Amino acid sequence: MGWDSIIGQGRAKEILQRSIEQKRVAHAYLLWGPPGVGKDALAIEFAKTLLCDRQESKACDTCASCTKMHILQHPNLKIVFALPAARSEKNNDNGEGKFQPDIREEIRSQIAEKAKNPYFHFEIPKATQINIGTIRDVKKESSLAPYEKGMKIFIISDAEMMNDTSANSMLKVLEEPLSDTLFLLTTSRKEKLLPTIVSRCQSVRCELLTDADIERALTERETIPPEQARLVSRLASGDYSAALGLVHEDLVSERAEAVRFLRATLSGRSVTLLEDIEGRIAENDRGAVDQFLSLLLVWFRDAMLMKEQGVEGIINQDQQEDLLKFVSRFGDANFPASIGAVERALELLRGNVYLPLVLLSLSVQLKRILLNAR
Amino acid sequence: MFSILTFNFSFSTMSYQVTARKWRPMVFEDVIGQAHVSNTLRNAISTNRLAHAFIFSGGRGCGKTTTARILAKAVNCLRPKDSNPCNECEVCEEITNGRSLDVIEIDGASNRGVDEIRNLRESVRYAPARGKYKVYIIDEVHMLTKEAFNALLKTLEEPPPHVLFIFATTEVHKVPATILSRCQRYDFRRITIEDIISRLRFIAGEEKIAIDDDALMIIAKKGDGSMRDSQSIFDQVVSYCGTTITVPQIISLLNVVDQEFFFRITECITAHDTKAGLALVEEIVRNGYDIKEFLSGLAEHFRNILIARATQSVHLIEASEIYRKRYATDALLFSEQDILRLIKLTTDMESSVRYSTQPRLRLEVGIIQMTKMEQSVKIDDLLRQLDELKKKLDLGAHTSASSITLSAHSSMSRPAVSEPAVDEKRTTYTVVPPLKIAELSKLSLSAPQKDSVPTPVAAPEPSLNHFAVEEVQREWDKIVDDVRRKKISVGTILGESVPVSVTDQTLQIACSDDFHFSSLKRNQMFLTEAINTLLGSKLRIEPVLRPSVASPSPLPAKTGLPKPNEAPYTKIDGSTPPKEHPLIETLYRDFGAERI
Repeated sequence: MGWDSIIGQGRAKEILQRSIEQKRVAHAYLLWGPPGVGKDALAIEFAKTLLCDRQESKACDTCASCTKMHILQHPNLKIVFALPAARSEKNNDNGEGKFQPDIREEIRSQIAEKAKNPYFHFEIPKATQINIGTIRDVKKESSLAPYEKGMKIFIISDAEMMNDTSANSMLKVLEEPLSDTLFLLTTSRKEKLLPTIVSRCQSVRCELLTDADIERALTERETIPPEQARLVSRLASGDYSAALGLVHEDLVSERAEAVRFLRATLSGRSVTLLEDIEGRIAENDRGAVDQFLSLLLVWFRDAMLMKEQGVEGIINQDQQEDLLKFVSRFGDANFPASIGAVERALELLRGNVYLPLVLLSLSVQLKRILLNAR
Repeated sequence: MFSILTFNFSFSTMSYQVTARKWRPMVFEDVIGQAHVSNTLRNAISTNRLAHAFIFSGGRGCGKTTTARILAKAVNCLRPKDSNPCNECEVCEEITNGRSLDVIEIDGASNRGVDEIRNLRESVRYAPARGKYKVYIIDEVHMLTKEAFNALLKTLEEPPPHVLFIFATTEVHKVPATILSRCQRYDFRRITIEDIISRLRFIAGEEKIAIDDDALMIIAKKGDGSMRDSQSIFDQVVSYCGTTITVPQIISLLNVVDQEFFFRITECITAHDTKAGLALVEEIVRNGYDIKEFLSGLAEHFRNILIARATQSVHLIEASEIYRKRYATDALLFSEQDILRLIKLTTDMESSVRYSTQPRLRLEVGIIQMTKMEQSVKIDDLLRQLDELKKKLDLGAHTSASSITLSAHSSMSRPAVSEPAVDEKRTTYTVVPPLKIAELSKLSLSAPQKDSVPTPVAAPEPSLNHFAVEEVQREWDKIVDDVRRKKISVGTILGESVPVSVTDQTLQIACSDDFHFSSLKRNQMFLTEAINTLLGSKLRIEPVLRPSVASPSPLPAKTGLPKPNEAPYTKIDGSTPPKEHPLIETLYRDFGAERI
């Protein structure tokens, strides 16, 4: 708990803490930056600090208010996130009242999860947007006096999920809310927000976490062995949530698969290649193929780097020998082009193109690019 | 009825208010950069020729809502000064505090239905309580529904004389033409950087904050033509730095990419220093710069160089004096085509970074491409050089300038290795390495190559032994014996293969079939070592598949279809490709089929 529990984000923390110290807390902040770097975590900590009885730039973590914040049940705090469409838009019930019991249960358990792990990402099934009903609730609550002393704080998680109507109806209240009201918006897709929304908030940029930060957090908090933590942190590319997800994957064997695919491609043994592709898509798991291609991408990046400047800065440190062999054979190949080919395949994959076709065409392209160079 | 809709913009509570609210202009003069609007409105008020409906459009933070409120006050004020509201009389105060019954501010985005408009039409009929006019300000009017707009039409065309409508919107194209034609339309402009700076300077002075113009310049540039954005950034800077603000603090707070980085990139490009370029990427990522932001900054940097180059002056560059000078000197290092290519590369990168899962990788690739990029020569120069070459060599017979590819055997010009093949459509002329007339004698004319991109030609190193294929053939039996002793299977297979040629330090060994080929391929490393130790050479070994040469009993009659494994692993020098089945040839020719 406390500001120290947030990984990295030195500058963002400082901006928020100093605004408390200087008594210049604005009425709206937009915390933006890549996914999984702790934007919600920052927002929650900021809210807790402002509501804490101590009224300083650090929360005491012991007072009644902080205790309520630890389980995210403070009455002055409202967390807004995408919810499924209510039973009926005309239904005048407030808040959760308008949902089916199972969805209500889901919402509650997700909030509890968020309280435990601020890096948790809200995902209510069938929820695609923050709709106008939710925003109406927000506006209504913001016009009322706070339940307890202190500010009313609204955290709008993934603000880009607001649709056109809800975003527009936020504008007036976001510009000139009643005093002692604070809006904390978080987003990983700032460009999808209305410029008029962005302009009404103080933008605080959250940065990608460094590999070292993630590595440390993984070893200290999740007790991951250092070897694995290093590989995972490199692959997570600054996204702690992704790192937590990757911890449970067998990356080393996945990578071996990627190398095998490359080998099959280059050896020209089409039968092996086809078998490989068949096996890969048998489960039709696009997520797995995505990861597999990402690993391939990392491999090419390393090869390119190795060619340019030696082993420095390489992600697959434990595979130096194989990489060296690869580079000595295909050193003249156009690595940028092959990286382009893999990225294109990733794009197609996400565009829901027939899987075998994607892999086969990738393999043909790679073969041409790599073998032509020799 | 509109009680929840009017907003309390009072200063009554003593808590902190952001600059944009605290310093919201109260008179027409303070609305910066919109003189064309405020002068018109003031003249209309003073000559009593005020229209009954206005629509204000323009980007975020340029003063629409502010002007609407000033106008509402100006028409109702008891003691207007020079068509400005006095902001002191009771009516003005009521309006400022949002208590007035005559000025009704409606959030168009939340009250967008036809029902709300019906209510509005009802209330329009009643005369104002105190002032002269009843003013309806509908903000974000573009969000009204179609039905709501239509319900408004009649009232808007001929309202009672005491009614004034003011609409404000950022998206005027969403407002129906029938509404627009009933209103006087005022387009608000983006606010210039100078105007923003002067307003911020004024506010800073009032709040007793020390800040210099360079710092204000950074803030104003980030604000991108919007006063509110600039003031938000200003607020953030003040709450971060306190009352004395310096440029380095702002740079670290806003994480503006230091201009210095861009100049270092250009240095890397001119010096072709890939390693330094990659180190720079590492630094950018470590400093936590946003890669997208960095790229758009880089594009602007190249644009500045281009402008300095094209106009021979630096007046159009938005940068401080020191940097302008540097742009002037940097501009001499590049030709216009080079800069255009760099800009193209940068913008391509920008768009691909947006969708990339690994933006850093994209940046690295891009930087490598940039540092490896060759300077281009103008096509005119090239043609002139070609002409001279023609004269010199007196080769009038078999030259047609268009089909000649130049390959420079000069060690002076680095081969254009990694011209971004991602973009294969690029025309040839930009990638030819620069040639000096003096080097022309070293040029050789070669047959047109397949690729439009010149392939690297390794400069032959004189220190290496040159092995002719005859020598290898002479020693062949010895080699085979030697290999057989070490690895019998490989030796046997080698015995059935024939050395065919030595080109570029590469010994090609022809084998009769797939099996031979693949096993030689497998043992390539071993063979290379064995042969080189025996001959004392530095050859690369490359098995090639050529049934017709080596095999005593080739397999011609079997079928004309190519075996899948016969794929062109390498091109075989000098030999024409085997004749294809007519059907296959048609496939190639007419359907663009490719071998896989």
